[in-house]
Amino acid sequence: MSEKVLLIDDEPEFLETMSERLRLRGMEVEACTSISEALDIMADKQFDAIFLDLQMPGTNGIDSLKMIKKLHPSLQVILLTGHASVEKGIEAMKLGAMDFIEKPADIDVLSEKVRKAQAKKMLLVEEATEERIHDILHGRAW
Amino acid sequence: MDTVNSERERLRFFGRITAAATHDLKNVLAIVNENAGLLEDLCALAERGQLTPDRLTHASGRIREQVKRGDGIMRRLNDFAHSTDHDASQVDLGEAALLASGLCNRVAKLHETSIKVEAETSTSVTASRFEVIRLVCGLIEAAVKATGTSGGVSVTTQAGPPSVAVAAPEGTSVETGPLAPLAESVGAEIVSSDPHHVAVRFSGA
Repeated sequence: MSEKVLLIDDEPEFLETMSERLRLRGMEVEACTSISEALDIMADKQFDAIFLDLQMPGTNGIDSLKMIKKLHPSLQVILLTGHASVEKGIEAMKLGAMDFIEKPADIDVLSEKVRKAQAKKMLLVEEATEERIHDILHGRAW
Repeated sequence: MDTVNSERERLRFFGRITAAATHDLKNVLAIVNENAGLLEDLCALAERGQLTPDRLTHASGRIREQVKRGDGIMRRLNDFAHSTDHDASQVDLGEAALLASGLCNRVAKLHETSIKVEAETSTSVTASRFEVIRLVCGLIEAAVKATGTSGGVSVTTQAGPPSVAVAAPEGTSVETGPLAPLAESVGAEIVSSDPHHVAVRFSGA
């Protein structure tokens, strides 16, 4: 099953090239330049991983991360940034980011992150399903 | 509290400007990196006979564009770094306005607005070039913050008396109070005809 990726960055040229490279690696890719666009796309489609730029016009990456994790808790968010400070990295991980990577990044590293994100998301979905079945069997969901 | 003319504030300004410029440069390098990588990917496709030449041309064109963009950022940053070379010199206000606008592009983008410059390059004053740039950047930043998404900021220079004017859209109010001591230190004053229109006016050429 091909991995589904959403790229959010305010640099259209970066989005265009990164999308093309990930597609060449067999992934399904959507891209957008703002968090509001991203939320609209996420309302209709499922993704395994999101690459989110930390510094975007109108909002900051940390607030965007909070918004995404609140609406889609099992979605794996990888922050991409021009300046990866330790404090921001710790803050992002505490808020549930899967990883925090500095630009420019290696495509093989990013591809591997996407595969791990897909596996992690599947595990989370499986756990949630098992919990649901357990609740049904023990009558808590009736 | 640090005043606008303290060394701490000068250092903060230098830090803000270099942080914004280097952030933009990292973006440029990321795009160059991805396009160089894409060329390698396309070469792999060529070995399998799946490549059309226009994809190569497109990727190499994007690299050229980003090199040009990066060169512009580096030139501005270098020009700004050299603004501290002399305590006082002849400062061309048109050039200073263009440089300050370029240095403030990232902050404008983050506030979802843009800066338009109409500079008359024959107007010059004797002052510290660094402080003049800091003052004009201060005016632009104040206008950008007041503007938000409601339009663009325009920067103009005038010859008599030598001045740099910054205008935000009508209905906004540009707060420049904290910049008054900086203006005074370079022999200028901040004047305002409307809340959305401010200018730094120099006393003599």
